[in-house]
Parts: sequence; C-alpha cells; structure tokens
Amino acid sequence: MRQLLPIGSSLLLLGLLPAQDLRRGLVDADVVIVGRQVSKTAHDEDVVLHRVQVLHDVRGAAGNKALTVFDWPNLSLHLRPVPRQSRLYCLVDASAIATRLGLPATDGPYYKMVGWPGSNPLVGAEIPNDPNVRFARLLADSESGTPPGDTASALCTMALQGQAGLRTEAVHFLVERPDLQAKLDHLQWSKLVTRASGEVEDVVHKIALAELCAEQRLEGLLDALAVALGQVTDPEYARAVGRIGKLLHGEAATAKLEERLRIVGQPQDRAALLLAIGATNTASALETLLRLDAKDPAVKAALNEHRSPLAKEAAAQRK
Amino acid sequence: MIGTAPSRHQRFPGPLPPRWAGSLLGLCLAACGGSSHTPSDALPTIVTAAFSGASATPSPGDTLLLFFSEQVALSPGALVTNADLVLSGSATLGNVTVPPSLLSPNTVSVTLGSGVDFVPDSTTVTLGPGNDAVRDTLGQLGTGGPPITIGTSDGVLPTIANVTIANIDDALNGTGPAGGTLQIPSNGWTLDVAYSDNGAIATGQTQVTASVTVNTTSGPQAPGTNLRPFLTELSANNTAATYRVPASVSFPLGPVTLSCVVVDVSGLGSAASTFAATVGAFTDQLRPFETSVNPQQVWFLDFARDVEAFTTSSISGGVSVDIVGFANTRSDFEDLLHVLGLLTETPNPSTCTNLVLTRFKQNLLDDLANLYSEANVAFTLTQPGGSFGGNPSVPYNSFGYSQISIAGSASSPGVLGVAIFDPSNTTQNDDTRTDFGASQIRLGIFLHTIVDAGMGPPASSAFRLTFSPFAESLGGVEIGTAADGLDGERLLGNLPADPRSAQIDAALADLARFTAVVTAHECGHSVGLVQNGAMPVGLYGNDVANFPGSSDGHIRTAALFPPGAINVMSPALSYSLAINPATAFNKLNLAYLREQVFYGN
Repeated sequence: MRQLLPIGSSLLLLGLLPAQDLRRGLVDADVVIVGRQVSKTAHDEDVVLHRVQVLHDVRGAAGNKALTVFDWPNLSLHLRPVPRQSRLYCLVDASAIATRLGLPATDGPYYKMVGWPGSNPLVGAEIPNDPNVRFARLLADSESGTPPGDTASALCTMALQGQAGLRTEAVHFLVERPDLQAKLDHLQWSKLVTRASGEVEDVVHKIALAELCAEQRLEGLLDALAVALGQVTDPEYARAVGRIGKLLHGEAATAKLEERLRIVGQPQDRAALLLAIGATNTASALETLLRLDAKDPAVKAALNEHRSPLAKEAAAQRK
Repeated sequence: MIGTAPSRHQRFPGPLPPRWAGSLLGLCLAACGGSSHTPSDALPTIVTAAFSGASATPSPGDTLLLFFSEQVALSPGALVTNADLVLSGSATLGNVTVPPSLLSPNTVSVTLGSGVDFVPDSTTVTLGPGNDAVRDTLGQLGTGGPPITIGTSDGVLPTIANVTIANIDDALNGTGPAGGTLQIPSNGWTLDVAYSDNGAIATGQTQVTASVTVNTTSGPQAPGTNLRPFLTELSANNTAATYRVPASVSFPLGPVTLSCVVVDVSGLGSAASTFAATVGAFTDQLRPFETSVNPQQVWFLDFARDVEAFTTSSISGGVSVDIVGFANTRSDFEDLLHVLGLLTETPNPSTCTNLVLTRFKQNLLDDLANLYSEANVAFTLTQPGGSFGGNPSVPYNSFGYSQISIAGSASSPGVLGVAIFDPSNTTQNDDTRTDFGASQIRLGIFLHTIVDAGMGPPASSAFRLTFSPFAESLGGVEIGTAADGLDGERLLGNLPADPRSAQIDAALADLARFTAVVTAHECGHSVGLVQNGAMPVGLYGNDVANFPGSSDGHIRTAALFPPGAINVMSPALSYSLAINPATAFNKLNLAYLREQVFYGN
C-alpha cells in the first residue's frame, strides 16, 4: 500500500462530523479520483463490482477512464459507492482480490475504498474548485514538488478561513506533520493561537487548533485557552484544556487554572474552569478540588472528571 | 386500583381514526337501535372533578369543572343539573340556569345555581342515568362510572408534555420530521408519559386508554376503557410515569391510538394526549431473539486471531504501529496490548499478564452488559459447543451462538470493525472470518486502527495521555516493569491512593470501554441494526436528511445525546466519543434490541 506522505498516521479523533478523517483517506489511498458510479454487477451473493467513471484524477489513476470498486453488500461497511453521484474516492489496490476471484484484467483496474470516515464526500459541479478536491489536490501536490513552506501556508490559510470540517482537517493535518509546522512563521502562529482562543461556534475546530498550538508548546497558550472556558460550555473543550495543561505544565497546570478561577465571576466560567482542573488528572488538581465547597455541583463534576479513586470517592460522598 | 379489575364503566376512549369511528358508529346504530345497548365503545364517564370559587364554600356563580374520560359534546340547550349527576348525600348543584360550556374537548364547566350545597374534597359525583347533556363523539350519552370526589381547584391544569413508547425520543417515534409509525408487538413494551403541574399528581387517577378492544385477564376491554389497572406500573411520580404492557394484556393487530390523561390532587385533569402506533405480528422471522429454540442470543468474543504481529516506529510527534504480516503464536489482540504497554514479556510479578487480561475482559463484559441492558443478549468468553462448519451464517434456530473476533488490523485502512449485516437477526453469524466471500476481507473488531491513530500526534490527545505512562515507545513504563515491583498489587486494587494505580485503572477501563462500544456496534449490525427507512420499514438508517451524518445501515443522532457522546450505531466513532459514559444505543435502537419495537412485515 502506497503512502502519499511519510507520516505515521494519527490523531485524537477518528472522525465524527462530515469532515472527519478525509486527510487520512487521502494519505492512505493508492488512487484519489473524483468518480461517478455508473453501473454495478453482482459477482456472487457476497461481492458486488461497481464500475466508476473517472471524472477527475487527483493522483494515481494513470490515465484510466474507469475503474472497478469492490463492495460487500452483506457487510456493515460504512462507505460504499453511491449510484450516479460525483464523489471523491480514496481507493486502495485490490488486484489481489480480483485475481483470487478470477476476474478479467480487462474490467480492471480493481480497487476497494478506504474506511476512513468522510473520505468519500460529494463533489460539486465545478470539480477543480470543489473545496474537498482542492484539499485533496493540496495534499497530492505536496508530494510532487510543492515546497513544504507553500503547503504549510496553504494549510494555515485553510485552517483559518476554510469551510467547516475542511478547516479542521487542515489543522489535523498540520498536527500530524511537525515538519510543516516548522514552516509556519510567527505571525501565522499568532493567528492560530488567536483563533484557538477566540473561536466559540465550532468547538471541534477550536479543540483541534488548541492541540496544534500545544504541539508547539507556545508560551502563554494555557492562559489563552482558559479565557474561553465558560464562553464555550462544551465539556469536551474543558477536557482538552485540562489535557493540554497537564502536557505543558504538569502539576503546575492546576495553579495556572486556579489563578483564573479567582477572577471569574460567572458560574459557567467557574464550572468550566473546575472541569478543566479535574481533567488535568494531576495530584495538585485533586488536592485543590478536595478543598472546595462540598455541595457545589461544579466541584462534584470536576471530581468525577479527575477519575482517581479518591476523587470518585469524594464525589460519591457529595451526593 | 392497580392490579384490580376496573368497573365495567371505567373507560376512556381517545379520538378515533375516522374509518374506525364510522364503523363503530354504524355498529352501534345497527345493534342498539334505542335506549338499551351494549356499546362496543366505552361511554364517557367523569374521571375527575374540581370546584372553583371565590371561597372554600360553593356559592351561586361558582364553577364545577368536570373532566371526562374522552372527548365529549354537549346536547344543544341542555343544562347540567342534579338530574344528570349523582351527588353523594344530600349535595346539590342548586338551581342551575346557565348552560354548561366546553372548556376543552374533555372538560365541561358547570355554573352553580342558587341553593348550591356540597362539600369540596368530600362530596362525590358521577354521571347519572338521567344524563341527557353530555355525549361522546359517537353521540352516546354518558352514564355511571366510579364516584369521583370533587376537589378544590388549584387553578392550574396539569399538562402532558409527551407520550411515547419505550421511551423513544420524538425524533424517532413517528411524531418527528422523519415520519414513520412505530411497529410494536401485542405486548411487552412500555408506555411513557411525561407531565407537569404546579402541585402533585394523583398518579392513581391517570387514565390510559386505547382506540381498540384490548384483551386482558378480565376479558376484552372496549375501546376507551381505562387500561391502567391492567398495566404494570414501573414508575409513577409527579413528573413522569412508565407502564409496561404485560404478557397478560394483548393488543390486536393493526393501528392503535393510545390516549392518556393525568389528574392533579386538586381534581383538575389534563387534556388528553395521544400516541399512534401499529401493532404487528411478531413472528419468529421478525423477532430478533425469538426463544423457541435458543433461550437468548449468545455472542462469543474470540480473542484468538493470530495472523500478524506489530512493531512500532518513531514518527514526528509520535509513534506509528506497523503491521508485520505473519503470525507470532500470540494473539493479535495481545500483541497490541504489548504495544500499549499494558502487557510485557516478563512481568514482575508474573501474574500481571493474567491480571491485566482478566480485568480488561471483565470490564469489557460489564460494559457490553450495560450497553445491551434488558436485551435478551449475552456475551461470553467461552466458546459454546458446535461449529459454523465454514459457513458465514447459519439459520438462527439451528445453532446456539454468534461469534466475533477482537483482533488486530482491518482489511482496509480506517476501519474499526466489520460484521455481517443480518436484518431481523434471522441467522447466527460468524464475524471471525478472515476471508469473507473468498475476497480476503476480515471481519471483527480492529484495535490496530485506534492504537495506530492514537499513538500518533497530538501528544495532548486523551489516548496519548492515557497510554503514554505505559507504552515503552512513548517513554512509558510497561505494566509489570515498575521499579517498585508493585504493579501486581496495583492490579489487585491494594494501592488505591497510588497515582499509578489510577493510571492503570483508567487505561484498562477506557480501552475496554472503547472495545465494548465498537463490539456493541458490530454485534448490533449482526442482530439487525440499523435497517434503512422509517418505521415500520426500518429504524431510520441512511436518513441523511433528518439525521445528518447517517449512512447506509447507520444512524447518527447527535442531537439526542449530550455533548461528547454519540449513538453507538453512528457511522463513525472516535476514542473520546466511545469512552464517554453517555454514549449508548439511541432509544429506538435500544427498543429494537429489547424487542419493544420491530421492523418489517
């Protein structure tokens, strides 16, 4: 299986919203095309062959105008060709399966779809300008001569200005590529931190940006992220801030978050900060939480977040 | 009154579909023809009554509110007087001169006249044989019913917020934009009512009626009869009640409308709230866990697959878990636990390996039991007798169990699990195969996908922070290699205050939880989740318009879960979402697993 880029893989999330793990599909694929399913043939009761017309070759189609994609209709596959729709296809070689089944080479080449969520998005009429295709092209070009600095800048721009979903993909891709992170300049990092701190609508994107900035161990990051606790009430963000605090400051993360705790006035700010403290899972966090008001539901939630036996015991006693 | 047979006249029909109403009316007219008849539809009765006045003592001009068991109409020009009612003792409404008014479809307001004399909270009332004022929608005059104590209105009617079956959310029960109609068996399901009031609810006076004749241990109950005494009350308080339809009660096949009214302690009743469903023939072919041969669906969890090994390599910002394509006489599952540092080659003490595996598997079984709670499904680590004989599936009743592998890598990148989709669970399935369809497709749970993804960047991910204390490739200390030699004690729970104990507990619990959610998802496919289409055709699988992010055989219902949690049968799961304690089957998926609803015909 061919690797588009020399990255290992990985990321926090395995995809959830439509945006998801497209980048992983693009990286893992042998062939990336925009295609339209035009017919299907049952090989037997377990295997179906979809003929897919190649509308646009992002990479790897080698001049083929059509190709065949395997599907197993009786299996719980999450992605399978959709009839008559123009979609981005991230495909891996399946010639061995074709040989095993005795399929003729003239009906090939044979592929199967990667399984990464979001790796088969719909594509608009203007194929080259479709945002998903442009993202795929950006990643493909990065392998074929585009200077890393240009790729990094393009990803940064997409991270700041791209459409929902894809902008998070751009951030995740940067997270997974420290070599590209190194190409971003001070101003770009400043914009990324500002967005990580200021974003309030797209929490998934906000968390991804925060994690990207944490990879760089930027000065003052925890303080910048803590400002949004309370403005953003999604507990996932508080958990992310807690984890980042632990990664960057270890036991000292609690004191940093506690400093802010002393100046916030709104109950939701306080609750989010306490949750973040609990999410650091540090001994200092436990010590702090055990000192606080036993009847405060926010303290109890933070103790539950801490997960240590002592914290859970304390939370249970505070019912 | 719970558990006792109701009086013959205790009834409460809900609004009937026009064709039912028409046929019932026709039947009534043909059979009755006059004053004496046996109605096939229950007559209206008073279910609660409340006095409303300026003082505690009724005076002329004050109001008596009567709440009826069904929608009623008033005879034109008729007054509601002492002649229409039976009041206890010497009580009287006085000389009523004002025509009654209909405050709501089932509520009649009577203005009391001069000479009125009754005692609120003491005097009882019921419709009398002389009633010529209050009729139901079929034109039947009400009469009889149990004596109802006239309460003192607190001024606020109770309100029913929701009626549903099996606690299924509105988005999935046929009342939401996705449409559809729930298909239910003749019994076994629960009816859930949510309501509110400014005071307490008299739960013993809640009315539950049906638009069809329902068979009970006391014989057939006509449409409109209060069925609550025949139901099993699971809970009932001031905000909600849940009743189960026991095996002794049977709804007929076809459409049914259920109707509920709640009454507060001041004697005020709510407007009726209804819920429509379809009772279907719950044949063995459609029943996922039919018991004629197998008492339950058993799933054998197979950890033995050994087709590969794994190595790690350093990448920028993390570690890549690379696949080595040969068996190594150790299961692929255990290979990955070694990668994560949960197992080690020569642990100290040597019992660590067994302790880790035992705790992980027990956590897994507990999590699966929780996810499949009240479903007739059991998970086992011991393979039951018998063999699939090389078949991917065998008829459900010919064999005692299904099985699934918990293993290493998938056939395609990015896949956490693959299983045979088995609508209505008509077969036992072998999800341990490594060459499905002779096309090299592996079935099962693929933990390599999450381990490889999780050990890469970012370093602040939940996965990394959970497992980096143990994964040698991430600088951790493997379980069983701690310098103090106390990991065995930690695994036994003898050092609860020790920070490494908490880390070990969290790692084993979270990995088991993640595995359980993915296993629950794939086993869900192999017992019939999630058929495409609206109820009763399916369970709303692939309805991307109403449930964005859904796909073929999957449904994503993010709005029905708190932030950070998700439906088990979503197309995609993340580590954080899976380990969230609120992640579960959505209520419709769960109702299917609990055999409270089913699809197909």
